Amino acid sequence: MICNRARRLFGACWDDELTQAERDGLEGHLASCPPCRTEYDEFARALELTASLPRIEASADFMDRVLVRSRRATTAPDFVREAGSRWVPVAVAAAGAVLVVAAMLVGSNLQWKTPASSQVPQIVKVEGPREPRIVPIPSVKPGERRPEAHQGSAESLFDPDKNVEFVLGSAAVSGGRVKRDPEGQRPVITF
Amino acid sequence: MDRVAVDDPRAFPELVRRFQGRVTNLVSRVLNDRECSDDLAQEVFVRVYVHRRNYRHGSKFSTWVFTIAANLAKNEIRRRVRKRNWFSLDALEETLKDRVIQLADSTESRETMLEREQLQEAVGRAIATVPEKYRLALVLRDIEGLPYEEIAEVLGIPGGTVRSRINRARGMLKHKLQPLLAKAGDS
Repeated sequence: MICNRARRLFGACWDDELTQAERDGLEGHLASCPPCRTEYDEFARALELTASLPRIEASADFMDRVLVRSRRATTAPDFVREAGSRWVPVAVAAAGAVLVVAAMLVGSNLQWKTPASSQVPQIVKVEGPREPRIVPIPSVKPGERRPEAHQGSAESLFDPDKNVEFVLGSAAVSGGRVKRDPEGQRPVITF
Repeated sequence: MDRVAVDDPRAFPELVRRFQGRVTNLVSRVLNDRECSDDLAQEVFVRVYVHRRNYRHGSKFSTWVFTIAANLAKNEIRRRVRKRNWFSLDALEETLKDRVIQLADSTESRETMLEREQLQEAVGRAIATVPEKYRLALVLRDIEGLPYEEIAEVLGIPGGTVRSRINRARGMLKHKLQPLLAKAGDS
């Protein structure tokens, strides 16, 4: 047996986990190799010292203190906690900031899709089995009446009495309602 | 533990009485701070009590309690490392002094007693300087005498890793104690 192999077996030898063949081989090597013998003796002495360290006992009032602490840990506190954790406002502020940024991104995204003439996209029904598509219609100033061609009609794809939801890109817009207008040619969904 | 889980009032104190010594010793040897160890050992039992209904019957109670103790000790070591407030060697020396005086054979000569004391202090210090992950495995194996399989469960690592950590820890310990061992060998 070579020295490296013998030294790798020191731990298993100490734990009494060697096979008989391994034990015979190690003992034979230790008998013929003084450096390994010294190494093993020091190894064994270090572990003997470790194992023989005096046990550190618990303090005299250990039990009482554990029982008091356990009781305290499982019963409701007898004081009024200060309102909320200081982390809550931080979390709320962070959530608010995320929402603002998301809203700004959505807004800028919509602006990119809007032609230079500042037209507002609206969903309208088209003839045939095609899906509704987004088409631009001219924007109106406050107080102005929208052109009839762009007002809602009864021929809606959706139940006019229920809220509907559309997903435009990554932004979800809910709460849209189809207006019933008997004179209109095309249904316009407003939000 | 079953009786503790159903709130038998005598069961929990009995459990504490049975395991307080082993838990305190484990935490003390790992942390090397007598005062803090007592507090942390108490915290181990508080957690046992608070989570008594989460105990899985498949594993031994000692494994569970040692797992809690090892985790708390690890957290404490890391907290201290973060604060750069290393271990109080003075505290260990005081403790060892107390215990050695208590346990020493009264027929021993004062000189022999002092030598023994110094040796144990040195061993305690040497253990305290072994890196945390090796130290926990070493203390569980060579001080608490847990089998490798149970250490693997306590530390949540494979058996092979436990063996390699213990081997490395023993090598480090021997290396740190080398001058002392060589001196003892000469005399």
